[in-house]
Amino acid sequence: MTKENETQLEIVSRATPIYVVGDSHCLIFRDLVFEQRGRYFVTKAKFLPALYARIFTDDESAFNAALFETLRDERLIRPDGSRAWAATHLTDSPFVDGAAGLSEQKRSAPILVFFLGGGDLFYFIKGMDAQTDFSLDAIPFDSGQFPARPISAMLDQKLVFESVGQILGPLFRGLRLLERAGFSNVYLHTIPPDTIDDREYERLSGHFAPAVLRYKSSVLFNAMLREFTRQNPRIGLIDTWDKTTVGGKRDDRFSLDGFHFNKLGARLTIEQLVRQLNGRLSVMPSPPSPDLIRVVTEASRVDESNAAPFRASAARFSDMHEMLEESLAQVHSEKERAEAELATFRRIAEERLTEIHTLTETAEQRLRLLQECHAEVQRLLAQRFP
Amino acid sequence: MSDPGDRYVFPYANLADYQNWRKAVEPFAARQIDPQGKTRFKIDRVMPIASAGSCFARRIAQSLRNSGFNYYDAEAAPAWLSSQQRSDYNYGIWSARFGDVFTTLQLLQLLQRAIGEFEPVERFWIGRQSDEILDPFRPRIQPNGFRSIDEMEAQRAFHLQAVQRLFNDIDVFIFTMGLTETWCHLEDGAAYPVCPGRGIGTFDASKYRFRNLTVAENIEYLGRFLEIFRRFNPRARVILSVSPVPLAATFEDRHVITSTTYTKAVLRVAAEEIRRSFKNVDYFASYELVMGTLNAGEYFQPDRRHINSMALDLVMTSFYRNFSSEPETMPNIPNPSAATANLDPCDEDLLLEMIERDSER
Amino acid sequence: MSFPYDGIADYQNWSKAVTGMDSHRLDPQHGARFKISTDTKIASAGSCFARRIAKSLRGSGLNYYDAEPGPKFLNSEQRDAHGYGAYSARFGEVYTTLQLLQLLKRATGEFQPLETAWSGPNGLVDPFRPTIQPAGFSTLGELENDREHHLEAVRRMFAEADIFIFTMGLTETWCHADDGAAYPLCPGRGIGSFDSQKYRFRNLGVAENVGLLCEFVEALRELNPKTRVLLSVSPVPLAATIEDRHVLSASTYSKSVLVVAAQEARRRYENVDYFAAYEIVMGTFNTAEYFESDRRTVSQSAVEHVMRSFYEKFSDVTPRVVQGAAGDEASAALPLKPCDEDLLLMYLDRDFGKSK
Repeated sequence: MTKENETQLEIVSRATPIYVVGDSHCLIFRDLVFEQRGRYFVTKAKFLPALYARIFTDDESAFNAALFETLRDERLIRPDGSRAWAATHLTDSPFVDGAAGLSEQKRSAPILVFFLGGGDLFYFIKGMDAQTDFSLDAIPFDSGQFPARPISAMLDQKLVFESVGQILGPLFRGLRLLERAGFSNVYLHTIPPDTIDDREYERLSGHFAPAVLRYKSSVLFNAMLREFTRQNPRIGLIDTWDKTTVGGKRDDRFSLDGFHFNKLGARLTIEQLVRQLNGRLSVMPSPPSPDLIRVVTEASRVDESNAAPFRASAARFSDMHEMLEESLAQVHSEKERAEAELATFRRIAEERLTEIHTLTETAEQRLRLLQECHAEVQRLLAQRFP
Repeated sequence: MSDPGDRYVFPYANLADYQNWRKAVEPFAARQIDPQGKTRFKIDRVMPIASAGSCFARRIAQSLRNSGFNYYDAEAAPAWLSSQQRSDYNYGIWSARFGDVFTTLQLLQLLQRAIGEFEPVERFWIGRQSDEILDPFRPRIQPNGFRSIDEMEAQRAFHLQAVQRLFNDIDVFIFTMGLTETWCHLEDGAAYPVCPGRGIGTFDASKYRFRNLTVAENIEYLGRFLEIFRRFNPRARVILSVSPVPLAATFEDRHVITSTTYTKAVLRVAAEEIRRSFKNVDYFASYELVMGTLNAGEYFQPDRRHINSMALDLVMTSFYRNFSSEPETMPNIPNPSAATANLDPCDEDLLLEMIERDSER
Repeated sequence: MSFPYDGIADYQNWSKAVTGMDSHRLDPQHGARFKISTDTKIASAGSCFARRIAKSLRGSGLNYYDAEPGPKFLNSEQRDAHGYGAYSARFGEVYTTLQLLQLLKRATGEFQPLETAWSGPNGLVDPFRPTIQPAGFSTLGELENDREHHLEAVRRMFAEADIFIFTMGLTETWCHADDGAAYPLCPGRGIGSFDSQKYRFRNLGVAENVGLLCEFVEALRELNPKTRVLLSVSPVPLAATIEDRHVLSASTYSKSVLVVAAQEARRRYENVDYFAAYEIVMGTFNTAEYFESDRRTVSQSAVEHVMRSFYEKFSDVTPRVVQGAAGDEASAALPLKPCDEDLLLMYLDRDFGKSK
């Protein structure tokens, strides 16, 4: 009996999975269980060692093969034909429905956190001579915090921004693709700060680069990630940079080694994520309609059924926005036409005016001539018949 | 002739074959004529080689780079630049990002600016937009110029450091002279690669003047360049050549072909005189190869200004045959035809565009 | 402020003047400082190519001045062999500016070279025109007598010509070590005998050529204030070079020096103009067609292109030759006598290495 009691299991809860996908920063998240007021989250690390932001999608916007396989194997997407795919949670199919039912799976958008850009940052840093510099005048960065170093080349800022944009572009394209396919819980994580110790960095990475150049590059990359999520508000950002740095340098309390977070760092990430999950619905644009307010107050959990009305209202807004833009464009083109017409009329009027001037002149000349003739006739008359 | 025993020997009796038209030119097909003759030194794959010059110099640089020579790059591009960016920002076109160096005066001033001996009074030009800041000495080094004067000057300072590094480090410097007609600042004589105006600076007759550098001036500028260069890099050798690319337009009131012939003649003479006075200088007869082998009609592209890849192949074959220490291992001239098609028009081609732009208005 | 290239003419712009033009119609000569009419007395001298120009002028109906026409009884072959009718006087080829200046000075008596005669294969020869008399002169007196008449004719030519056309050919030359007398040929191989202590090699630079041309123009102006000088550069390359250079490279150098010198002389003197014959042959992308198979002899089509430009730009009259290819077919059919410089090639061919 006692033995049986000892082995008796209790089902604690069904934990909400959080997929942490990307580079080695994912590894610390392997099978961590978080609890918040009776609600459980389990993080599933999907470490894809050969995946980088710059190859996230290819030139034809197809996902990187390893990424695609992972999403497929986790049944997050369903291949549809050779290249096409669909978000599993939005798929209408008896099989999917059945599987979802059996696993008591909510048909809701899975939570995906992407750790990407770290490998690309290394590629970026390694691609430059250690004495290279570039300016970051739109982005705050205090290089005075770091030891001075010799500089022999100054890269053009436009060029650097453009290049980082190109490096991260395939990632951004892919995230937008996911978002558009109905993955409404996609989060992008900022790149964590790496060690301030140049020797340690060189030992671990095999490449020497001074901390000031590495940090400057990290700040630039993270600024790009922030800018991307600002422009794409339906893709979330998990930004732990400020929390994990002190005076612009890494706060070692959160680090495991030269590059990676420890569990304390991982907790920061999930805390921020959960905060956003909870707050997410309240920031969705919503007209003050009573039934929607009801849903918001009830919405303590994130699932697709709760989100549906908001999705619908968002779509309405988006439609309205498009309509407004269309009508604005119409007004613009009408204005242009009117201006063109005005110019034409003005030209015609001016031509007429010139014509009238000429006619007036001719008439006046004729009149003068007639007057002269008349005077002459008068004179002759006076001579003849005094 | 110093040997008294040779006193009565007819001087032409002992000519080398290459000195005799019948043996050096007449028996060969045009494409087989190699007008180089002897060379004073050889280059190997270890020596750092740098180059500068007019449009034609880009082609030479490209070939050296692709042929396994130690082509020196003082301003290497970050590895992650795309090839489009490299070309837009002029990385890897020359040994440093100095743009086209058409005249000997420009070359001298480049070196003087690099070592701080010359600080031109004119700091910047304004581009097409008022916030487009240009470096007058390399106005097209990057698209849409720089965003501020400070940024341009900061980058120029690093660029000039790189140029100084280059002249310090190299063993061989190849300079292809292109032009004698140039526009200079009236006050300090700063020579620009293009005539300011038409959205690349603003023309002002009270500020700029036209010069057509004479033989004596070219010899003086080249000579001063070589003196300074030798002062801090005594081991370096210099190979001079003359670009066969004709003038895009002449400011002298005469036919552009006549002005071209004059300009190239001045440069050819200056190169020869300098070669006579400087033992570390040699002349590479690329101009002769293109213009003198009586095959010019075949060597130019349809615009009759740019030489085609066949001529370039011949020129580079001659270069390696004569100047490489291991010419026998040099049979593969990388076919540049694909790459040359991508070469940007150089600053002088711009002049034609600038003139064109006007006539369209 | 307007862009300075706004005002340039089409002929100054490569894409308008050259790109897409028929290469046989390209004319690098733009404008002329003076025009020739049927009254203008034209005299000419120069290197091999000058002979081609002279021949065309003679047939053109223009007033080509021959100061030394020679006895009337000579047939055309004899005249040709004895250097009559090749140029405006019987001086043979004048390759360098130094030779030209010395010719004028010898004619005015200002310069009397130390060396008066060379021994030739058949007698004595005049060192300044060594091939003028195929049979040579039998006595020094005969030679000097002939030279006196010749120089008198040369003086007359310079004094009376309205326009003097000079085609420069070479910069490499052999001179007498003592008085600097410049010869059209390197002495030796049976025409004079070589002696390195007596003769020295010179390769005249730009400054020297400019100096010599200026001295010539000024001396000529003193003798004949009204005369104009038309300079051009021969496209015929060097037969051989004494410089330790490839002959093609040495040739390009020589021609470059001459082009620069000519333009410089033109810049300095209002009565001097430049005729772009060299540019027409070398710069119009027709070179493959404009030279014979030896790659030295300029082809007839090149000469026609050159002379077409000459008549168009420098004369008011329409010359006969332009319409009908050749004015006097008899002489057109005759092969041209080889130039003095060609002799060098013959030597090199004949006894290359035999001379030790």
